[in-house]
Amino acid sequence: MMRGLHYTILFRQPRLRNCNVISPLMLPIRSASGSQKSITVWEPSRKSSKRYEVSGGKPMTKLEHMKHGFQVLKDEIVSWKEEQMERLRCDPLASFQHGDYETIWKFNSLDPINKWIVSTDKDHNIGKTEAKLELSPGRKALFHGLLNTEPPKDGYHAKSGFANIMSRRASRSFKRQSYLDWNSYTHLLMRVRGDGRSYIIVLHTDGYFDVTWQDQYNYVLFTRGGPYWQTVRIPFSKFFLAFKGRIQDKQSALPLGNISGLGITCMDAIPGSFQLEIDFIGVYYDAHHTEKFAYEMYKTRPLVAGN
Amino acid sequence: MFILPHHILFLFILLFSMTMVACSNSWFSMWLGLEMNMLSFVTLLMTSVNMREAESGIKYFLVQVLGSIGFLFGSLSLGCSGFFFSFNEFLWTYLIFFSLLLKIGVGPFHFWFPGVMEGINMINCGMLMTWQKLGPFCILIDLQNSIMKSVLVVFAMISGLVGGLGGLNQTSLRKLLAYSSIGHLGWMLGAIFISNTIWKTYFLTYSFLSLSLILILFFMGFTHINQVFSFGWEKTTDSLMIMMMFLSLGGLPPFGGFLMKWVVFNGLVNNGLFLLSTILISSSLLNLFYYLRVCYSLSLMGSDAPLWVSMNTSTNISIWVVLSGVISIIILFSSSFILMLM
Repeated sequence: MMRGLHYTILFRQPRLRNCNVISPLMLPIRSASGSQKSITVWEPSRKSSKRYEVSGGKPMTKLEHMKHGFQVLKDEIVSWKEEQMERLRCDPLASFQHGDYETIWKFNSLDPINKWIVSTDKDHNIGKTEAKLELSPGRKALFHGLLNTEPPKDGYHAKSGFANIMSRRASRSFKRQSYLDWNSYTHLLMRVRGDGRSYIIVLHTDGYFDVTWQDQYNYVLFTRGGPYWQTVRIPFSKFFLAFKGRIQDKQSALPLGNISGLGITCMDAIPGSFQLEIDFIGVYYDAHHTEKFAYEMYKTRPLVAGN
Repeated sequence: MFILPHHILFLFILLFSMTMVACSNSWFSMWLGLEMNMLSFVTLLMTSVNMREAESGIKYFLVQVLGSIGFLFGSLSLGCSGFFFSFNEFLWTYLIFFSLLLKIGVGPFHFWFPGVMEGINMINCGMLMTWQKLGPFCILIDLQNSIMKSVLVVFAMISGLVGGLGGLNQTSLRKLLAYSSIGHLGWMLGAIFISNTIWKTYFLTYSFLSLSLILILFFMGFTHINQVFSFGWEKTTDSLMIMMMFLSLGGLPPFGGFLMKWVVFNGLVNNGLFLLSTILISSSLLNLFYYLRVCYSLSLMGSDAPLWVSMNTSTNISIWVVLSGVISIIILFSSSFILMLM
């Protein structure tokens, strides 16, 4: 995993260019990854770098903290009780028929939309992109904004321009981290209406140790512009591993039991307005889909990455 | 899978280290054997490119190191305890005792076990469930005294309950087998009370059944309950044998698993351990519940079998499945011979 100044993905992957890999990897999608150069593997925080931590918000007094804490405690006890009741019910979904699907996020009201986090390069002081996630007049989630690729004049970043929406991290009661268990499904199912741009679907799979905190699996979604909705079924086997936005040489299949959240990113380096309307995001089971991982790993010489 | 030279090397070290633990007469050589075993097993866990396997390997390493620290500190202190009050001897013995329980994942020291099992492949799961428990148990058998037996009863009960309750809501087969293993550890701790031969019989039968099941699940590529669904329509004989192995693990007559539990239960009752036997039997029912859920998915649920997907299993695997099932029944009918060993 190389860290340092960013360069385009095409130059990073000469090996993949010569093999039969799915074409989205070859498209001129430039990431605005500006992660700091580091000679260690230790990560100080889950947000990758303190440089990008967003500060803000009015600090609470001690009394307000205590009141807030009691309220949080009450809510957490209620969710803990629900978890125990679910466990005692002891009826997990064990059998799936071909065509079964489950809606994970349905954006038909403000409540599910408010649980998603919108971030742009402007929030991290490395750009001027603006984005919002709102409820559209047709009661769907509308992710729209203005992508600005002008880099900041800080002498560090050469590229800029991304906007992202991300679901909150899967968690259990008492703020314990959890994962979405999609082991029984084979495809990601989405009903979207785009503007012809390409968006990157990001599945976060952070693990227990800090070297895995920035692991993510990406897939490039091409949208059709126009008034018609499109229902996309993306096989999980097509997602490829990236770390802090950089595609890794050593690839592996998506661990479906380790998904902490989903994100959608617009960073196709085309300045201007963008708009993506989302009806729902779910998962789908296809009994005839037997592919585990779509990308081949070639045996390389010793001391070459990928061996 | 085990075709690389370093796999063979580390497997040999695994075998050698466990022999060393079983044949040692000093604490230090036992610790040495346990460490060699742990290091070679961690290496086998980390040979995959999968990040999850590497993570599970590190978690396993950290837990085992903690146990080894306690074991070494306790055994060294025990060697020096002649200079202090004799009360300290109990303290260090209990430290060694708890360290060994942590190493094998007995409840309530079991929290690492399902997480590690979930991340590793099926073959390593089988080794973790069976072979890795052998060394610590050999030491536990020699370690027990009258006071420790009462503590052992408590841990056996906790382990049985944890194994029963923990697997109830699981759909992952590896986690299910992990909780099953924790439950069987309770039975093995109970078997220690009766005699070494009973414990060995239980361990051998459990290892045979578990490894057979693990091998079949490995070759079929099953990791979750939904994958075994509708398999029964493809291979009736194989699904019947897998069912028999699950029911045998659950302790249902007339399978071999019932015999191993019946012998332990009989011994516990004869020794007056009624509470332990009751709790182990009750938790065994819970184990049987989630085994039956798998068997139900395997063979009894009617479904539309997908026409274009077929399980390509070789004839050799089918033979192995049938052989395992038959042997698990033969174990029952050789009960008179086994009872003679008691």
